Amino acid sequence: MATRGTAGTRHTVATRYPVGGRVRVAETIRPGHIRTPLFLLGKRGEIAALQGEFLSPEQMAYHEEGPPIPLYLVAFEAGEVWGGQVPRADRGFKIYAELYEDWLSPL
Amino acid sequence: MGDTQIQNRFPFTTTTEAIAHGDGHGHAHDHPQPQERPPSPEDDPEVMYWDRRTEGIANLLIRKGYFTADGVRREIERIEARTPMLGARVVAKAWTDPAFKARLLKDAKAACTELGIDVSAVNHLTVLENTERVHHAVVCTLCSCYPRPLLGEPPWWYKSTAYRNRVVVSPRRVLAESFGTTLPEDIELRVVDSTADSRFLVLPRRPAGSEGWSQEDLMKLVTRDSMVGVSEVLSPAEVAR
Repeated sequence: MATRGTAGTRHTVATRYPVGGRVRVAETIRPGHIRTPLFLLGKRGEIAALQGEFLSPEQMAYHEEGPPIPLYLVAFEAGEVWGGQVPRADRGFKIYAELYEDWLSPL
Repeated sequence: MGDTQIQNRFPFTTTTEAIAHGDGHGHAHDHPQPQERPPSPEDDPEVMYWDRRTEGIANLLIRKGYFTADGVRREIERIEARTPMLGARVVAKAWTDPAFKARLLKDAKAACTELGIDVSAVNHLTVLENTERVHHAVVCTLCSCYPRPLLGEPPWWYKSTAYRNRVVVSPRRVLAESFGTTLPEDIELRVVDSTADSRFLVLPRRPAGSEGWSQEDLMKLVTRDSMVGVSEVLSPAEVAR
């Protein structure tokens, strides 16, 4: 069985985004098994941390093998994600989510 | 199967419509009464179907000799033996040992392994430190990802559509109305969604009045919910040392 990706701080693949970098999530979903929450599609966020490199769940779900992909913890402002729908008392919080590099593009 | 770990009733309906209309309060006037028990999964026809299917496949594999019924039982027993006490040990150690805390925040899997806790089942573990300035609350909006090696199986409300939908839209209200947790207005609230390989454990703030306590006594303050970030820890006055 293939290892399920390397966790930690050593990286063999060059990562595209530095911590603090601004990114946008892809606007369209892909068919099959994905781990990107739909409410984040097209939203702008900031790289909070590089979590490591992991095998793509989109491939693993179908027993395919590919190289490990950098995985980032990305921070989003609530207003960016929900616009004016956030109740007044709740304005100003942040949503953090983990996203694979191939779902992100630079801003 | 009953959930013996229930600490919070979750008074929400499963609709999120109320949020958009600013009517998401949880108290009961003019509203349906909160559910008295968690919805039983066995009542759901879809769950019944998958239960029977799982049982059928398991029986076939047992007959073919891949594993035994006792092996399955042992595994379930092992899974269900994990309790939030494991997480509480990690928190109490971090509160009393700054060097350990630094290692925990840097590489949580290695730090937990150091304490003899088996976290090999998770790919990556991230510990989120709550401070005077920042509060973290954890959710899995996609399914029910949870730091099981440290907290055991998730409570039913964590898996509910209501919690998963609402906490990413109106977290202060969810924390206040469902969990009785009112955060200071100026604190930065971060809702952390377990979408991928990491599992998240909140390192709650050590309460005032617990100075000089042993790790064993400190553990009594650390509740499951405080490590998910929906509550603070117990106050020292609530706990018998």
